[in-house]
Amino acid sequence: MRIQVTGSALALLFILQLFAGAEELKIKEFVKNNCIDCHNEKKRKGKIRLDNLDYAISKHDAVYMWQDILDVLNTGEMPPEDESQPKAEELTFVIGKVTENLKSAHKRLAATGGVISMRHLNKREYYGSMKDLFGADLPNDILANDTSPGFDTNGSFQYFSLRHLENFQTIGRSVVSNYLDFYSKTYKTQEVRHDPEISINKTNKENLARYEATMALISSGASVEEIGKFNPRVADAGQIRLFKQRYKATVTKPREYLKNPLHKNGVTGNVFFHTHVKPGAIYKLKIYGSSNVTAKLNVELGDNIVGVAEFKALKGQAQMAEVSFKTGAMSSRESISFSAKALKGGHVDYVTVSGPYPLSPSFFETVAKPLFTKKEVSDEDVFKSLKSFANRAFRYQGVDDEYINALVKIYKDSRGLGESLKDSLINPFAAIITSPAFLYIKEKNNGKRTVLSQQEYAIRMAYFLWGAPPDKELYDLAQQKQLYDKGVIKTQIDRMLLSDKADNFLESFIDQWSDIQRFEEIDLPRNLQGDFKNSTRRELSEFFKVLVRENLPVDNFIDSEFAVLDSTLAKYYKIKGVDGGFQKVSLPANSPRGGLLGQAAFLIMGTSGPRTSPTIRGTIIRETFLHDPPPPPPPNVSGIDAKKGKKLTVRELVDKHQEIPQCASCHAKIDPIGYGLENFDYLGNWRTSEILGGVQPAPKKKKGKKAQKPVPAPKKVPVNAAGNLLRGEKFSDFEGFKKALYKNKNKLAESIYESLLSYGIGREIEFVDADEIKENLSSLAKSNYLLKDMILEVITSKTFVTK
Amino acid sequence: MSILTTISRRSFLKSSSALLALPYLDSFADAKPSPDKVKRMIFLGQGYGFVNDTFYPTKSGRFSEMGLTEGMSPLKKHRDDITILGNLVNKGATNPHNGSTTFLTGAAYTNPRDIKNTVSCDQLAAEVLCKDTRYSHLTLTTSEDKSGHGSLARSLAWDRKGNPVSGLSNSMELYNRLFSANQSKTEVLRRIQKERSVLDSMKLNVKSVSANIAKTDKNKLEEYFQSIRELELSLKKQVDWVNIPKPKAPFEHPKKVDGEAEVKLMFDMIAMAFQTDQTRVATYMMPSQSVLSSMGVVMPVHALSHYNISAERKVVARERDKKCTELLGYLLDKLKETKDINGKSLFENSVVSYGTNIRSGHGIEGLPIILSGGGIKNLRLGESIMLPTDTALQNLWLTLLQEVGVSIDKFSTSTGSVSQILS
Repeated sequence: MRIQVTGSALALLFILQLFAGAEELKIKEFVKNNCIDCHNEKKRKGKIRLDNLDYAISKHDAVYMWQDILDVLNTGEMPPEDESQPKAEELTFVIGKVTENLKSAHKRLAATGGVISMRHLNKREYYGSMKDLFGADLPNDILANDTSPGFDTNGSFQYFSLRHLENFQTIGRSVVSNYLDFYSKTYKTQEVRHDPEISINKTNKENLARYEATMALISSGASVEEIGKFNPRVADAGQIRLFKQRYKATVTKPREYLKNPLHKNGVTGNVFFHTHVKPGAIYKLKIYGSSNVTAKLNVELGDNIVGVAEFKALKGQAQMAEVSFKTGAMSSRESISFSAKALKGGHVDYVTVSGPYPLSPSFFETVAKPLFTKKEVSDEDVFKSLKSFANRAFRYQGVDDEYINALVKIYKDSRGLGESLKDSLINPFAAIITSPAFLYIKEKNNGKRTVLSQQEYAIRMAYFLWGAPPDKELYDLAQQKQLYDKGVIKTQIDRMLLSDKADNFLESFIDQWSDIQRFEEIDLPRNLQGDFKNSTRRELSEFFKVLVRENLPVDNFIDSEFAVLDSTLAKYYKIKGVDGGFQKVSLPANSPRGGLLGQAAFLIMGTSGPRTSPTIRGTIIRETFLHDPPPPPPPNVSGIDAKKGKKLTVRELVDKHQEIPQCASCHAKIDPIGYGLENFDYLGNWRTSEILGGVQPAPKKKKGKKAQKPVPAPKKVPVNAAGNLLRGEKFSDFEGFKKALYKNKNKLAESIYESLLSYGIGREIEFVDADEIKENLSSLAKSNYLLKDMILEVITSKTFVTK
Repeated sequence: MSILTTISRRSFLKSSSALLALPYLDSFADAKPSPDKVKRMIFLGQGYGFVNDTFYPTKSGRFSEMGLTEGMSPLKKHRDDITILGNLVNKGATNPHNGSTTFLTGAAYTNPRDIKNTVSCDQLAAEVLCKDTRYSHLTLTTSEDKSGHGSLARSLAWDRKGNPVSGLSNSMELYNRLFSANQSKTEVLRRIQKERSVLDSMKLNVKSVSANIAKTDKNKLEEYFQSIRELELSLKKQVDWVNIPKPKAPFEHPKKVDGEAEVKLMFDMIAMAFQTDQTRVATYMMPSQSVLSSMGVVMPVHALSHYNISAERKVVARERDKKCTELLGYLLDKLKETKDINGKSLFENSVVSYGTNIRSGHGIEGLPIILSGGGIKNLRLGESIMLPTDTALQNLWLTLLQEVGVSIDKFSTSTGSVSQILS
């Protein structure tokens, strides 16, 4: 079996080489005709010699040489102006081919032969591992986001620097100390009341009094100095004049506010206050007030929405809405905020926060808290607690007594200096979660490819599907050596993917696969910033969760009969009957919103200013659906110019790429793909006609001036969404485009499969992986590439179970 | 013109609140360094390029005669103390998306997969200039991941092995580094002793983790071990300096500070670090997005770097250019105002290099470098100097290093010095 596969791979390689041979000849010919006269063994113009080029690009030196050649061809520097010039199509061919060759040379030269590098926990995994121990989340902003040219799990892109060590040390100490602080004191559930109107009314009264007094001073004819001394914001003649001009409006606001009977005992605007909380605990927030309409208030803890308080339409009647929330691992003094503006005609009278309510204790609590309830803590007790904590933190891969003894010594030294029990325990516990056995994913290896131990396999799988360590069930199965049983593993994967913990994987994987990061760099109009931006950013991952959990075919990315929408997105897509959060919605037959292709965020990623960018869209389609990313844009080549000449359609503008040989070399294989999405405008709205010259900003009216001369209505032309894929598959409209992608769905499947594998094992896919990937994909093809099956196939593949 | 009015109003508010007084700090070192020996260097990397036709001078000449370009106009006050260099190329850099990865190293790598950088020039300068100071270098950076420095750049500094040097990523961290935490000598020594025991325990754990793993993985673990060693070295240096207290903080850190005000605060503290002679080389990989936000602009800076897309973008891009040089002017002001231990202005013996690895859009040829400071006596200032076409940035770094007394005859792929910058 094995031999057969290798045999066919060899045959394929041979055919490829034949093609490569003909193409190489063309490049050789080009170099001979255009370069060698000046750059040969004898005449080394510019100290450059091109008669001995390494056409196979077998070494790094050759990469640099070819890169230099490509650069001067791209900028048109060579051949020099006064020499004869190559034909446009020759130039286009050579630039395109050399660019591709360089891309694959880079990949080849960086290949490791399939070595999976040891790696440290990335940000997601660190958070997941800390939550496993402490039972609560870390705030998102305490660690910078991982930046990596590939998936965030790729070990060879990682570099552990002093900064990492310092960060992990700081976080570890503050989390441990935050929790120990609570174990060292006794805490009872209590309720704290907060009346938000007190401080707001006070501020309003004070402001009003100050405005009135300032005005009285001005009217009494006081000097500028006197006025400025009383109110530093009104300190010169100009400011006095402005103050007088604006006085009426200035005092009306607080006066009106204080007059409103709803404000006597309550508020109608923003509510913001602080409260002390225990980390990783449950609290209840009760909001007492009234509302004339049904209203949902988002309650934020710090910057995160932690719950929604629902008010009923009960005119004038007092009512109460309740939200319970869980505090984070670093919580101590938290800010709580929400807006009462949605309570039309109603108000918030007061709020109470009660807690902490009992919650099943975190693992840390079970090992650390007992130390605080004992009358006398022996060194032996501390040793046991530390060892049991380290065992779980190190994923049961072994803890040396020598190490634990060193930690006990740190504790003893502190105690010896008269420090409290709590203070003496901070460093030893924090050291455990800063040690390499916690921070690194260890897999034993003797230099040869080896099958993972059951426990290592469980760990690799758990970090793949959860971004967190295994749970008891997985550890137990590993212990009983049952994980290599296909039935057992299938049940486990089902269970793991249904867990909330899998959201971490489903979101981060698909976001990285689609490079949705680009969406965040788009300059959205202000009215689309808030809710729309958040909802549309999440649409793909919510969609992907459904695809995986329901085990649907991968071609749903091209088109699907349903979408996963919340009310904000449904409104944007003009789909009725969707209320609340993300849910599966079946689409009307004529809706273009099926699949990834119809999703606003995906479409908006391909936006350049107030117009679509078929170039970016084509690039993204090649990266994702066609699994063939184009090379990066060359440096020093100026872009096509948008300004000069008459008003053009986007297509006419982008087609200018084809007029310049240097541009055409790549753009001929990018732009015509992107044309397939031209029926969606730059904000992802469906359109059948396009405005010539793009959307123009509305003319600004100047105050006090008469309206400027009327702007002629913009010219509209019908959208032309015809184009072609890489191998010339032509399409004439959006439907045809989707059909062309369907024909290439094996490429889409390959893209998702290879990415899942790469993400799961933490390295790039290399040539050595080709055979197994091909084999597994062909078996997945039989059932039309079901997504959950794909994950199962990845996890049970030889590559995934070996180190 | 709503964008512009927001810019001017917002930036006025922000900058006026950021003007912190820099009080004179008493000297604390036992012996004053000899005034002639002291040389200081500042390397600033901006990320992204500038607008081609409004930022760059098109010919050589003295600013006093030809004036400053629009983009450099905020530097008017310093017109005779700055020089911009034209026609520079970072040899080996081919991908504009690599940002500042090789800005100070000049390493010839073209692909993120072949990550092998080389030592950066600021680190070589620091080895020589910071021999006798508390900190062997001051590496500052930004945690913004979209400021055009590339996904691999943690800071502009890379060590002798070509590994990234992590920097302090905000003014709060710098503040805590520079000023004393009001601890007594006993307290400091006690803290250091504790830190050392913690590091010892981690070393024990490194030992057990490294059992039975592949050789390549041992190399990975070596990175962790190396960070422990760096921490130990810094603890040792703290012991060496324990008799000389750090200066007391002359102001309270404003805590919530961002964008323009943050950059100014970083500049203030670079000046303070020089003033108190805690270090003599500072490198700063600067933020861009937050500075734009503090100007009241919501546009992502990457979108803005492709300013030809619309007239509106170009207007904002030109404003950003001016904001960048305005901030540089702020630093030059600080250096001129502040006197060091010897009573000389910091400006007099500093070399300031400000620039970015990209000229404009995706263009990386003719990248901008602005030089300033009196640290190199015969440095030509007050001019636009068009160097010969494709002058290697590596040659410029070599020249600057040689002129401040670093004895090397080659830097990265340098082929000689840039004598044109010296009179």
